[in-house]
Amino acid sequence: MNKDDHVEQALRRVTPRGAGPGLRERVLAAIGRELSADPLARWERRLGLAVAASIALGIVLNVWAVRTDRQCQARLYGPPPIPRQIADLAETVASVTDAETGQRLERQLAAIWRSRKAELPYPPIDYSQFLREFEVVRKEPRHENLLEEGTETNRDRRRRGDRDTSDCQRRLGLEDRLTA
Amino acid sequence: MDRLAERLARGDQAAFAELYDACADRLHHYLAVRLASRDDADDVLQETFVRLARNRKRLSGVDNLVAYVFTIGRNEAARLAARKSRRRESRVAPGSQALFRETAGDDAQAREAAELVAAALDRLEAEQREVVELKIYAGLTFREIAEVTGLPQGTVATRYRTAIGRLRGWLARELS
Repeated sequence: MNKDDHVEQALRRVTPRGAGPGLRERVLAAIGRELSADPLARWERRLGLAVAASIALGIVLNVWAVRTDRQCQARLYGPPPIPRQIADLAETVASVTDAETGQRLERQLAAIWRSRKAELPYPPIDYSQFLREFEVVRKEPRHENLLEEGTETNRDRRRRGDRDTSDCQRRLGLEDRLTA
Repeated sequence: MDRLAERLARGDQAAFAELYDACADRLHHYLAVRLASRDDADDVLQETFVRLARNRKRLSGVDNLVAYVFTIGRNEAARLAARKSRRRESRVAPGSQALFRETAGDDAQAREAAELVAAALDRLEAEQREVVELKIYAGLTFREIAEVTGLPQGTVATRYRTAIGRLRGWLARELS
């Protein structure tokens, strides 16, 4: 027996404690849950997460691209221009008061002008109202009968229409253009 | 073992219990040393078996199940250690009491011997200690240790002999 064997024997004389008594049940229960789990559901969950992550990434990249573009434009062309009237008015005020007051007025008016410019030109369209109207049209039996007739006739009848379309036009902000 | 691998691949729960009984104690000791915590070893052991159950289809192609289980366990332990290292959690080596049964017994001589062995093993470098633990307490062959650690078989044997040499010198000094 060589010296190494003595050392190995000394090491082997002690017994590792090993896993605790309750661990076996815990591990086997976890294995049971894993074996009964549906692998498809796991893939669907992963797929869902991947789609959500892609959408989030898309949004972040879009925001980043827009910001970068704006910064690039600002670097190239400077701040966005303001209307001539504001500049003239600020100049007039500066001539009767002082340059600082003129500049302050110009900044305030420019801010007001930009905020108004950012507002929507027309009120937002209520799409749910549209959908309700289309639903009513679809349910009317008269329209089903019209399908049997020629398409030309259908179009004429609808154009003459018993329904008033001015509401839709108003919502789209087109009443003054289409009725002109 | 071949038949066991096929049963495991089919998702037979009794086969998993058989595999657990065959290597859980050995693997747990190895993980407790590697992670310096018996609680972490519990968690990693569970995660190892859950992972085996999840990827059970692959088990039918595995030649050496015990080596494969140790490889998965080692990877899981490395993952947990990396997570803890990122969170800057400190690791304290477990004392002999946490590792060997004799330290909790009434036999004073056996307790002293166990404490001596634990102290001697603590003096080894991590790589050398891993090989000694796998050889002596997990009962793996050099070939299996090479498979688990990803090292060449010759390197494993050299590390083992170097570690035993160091232990011999240290134990001789302590016992004299």
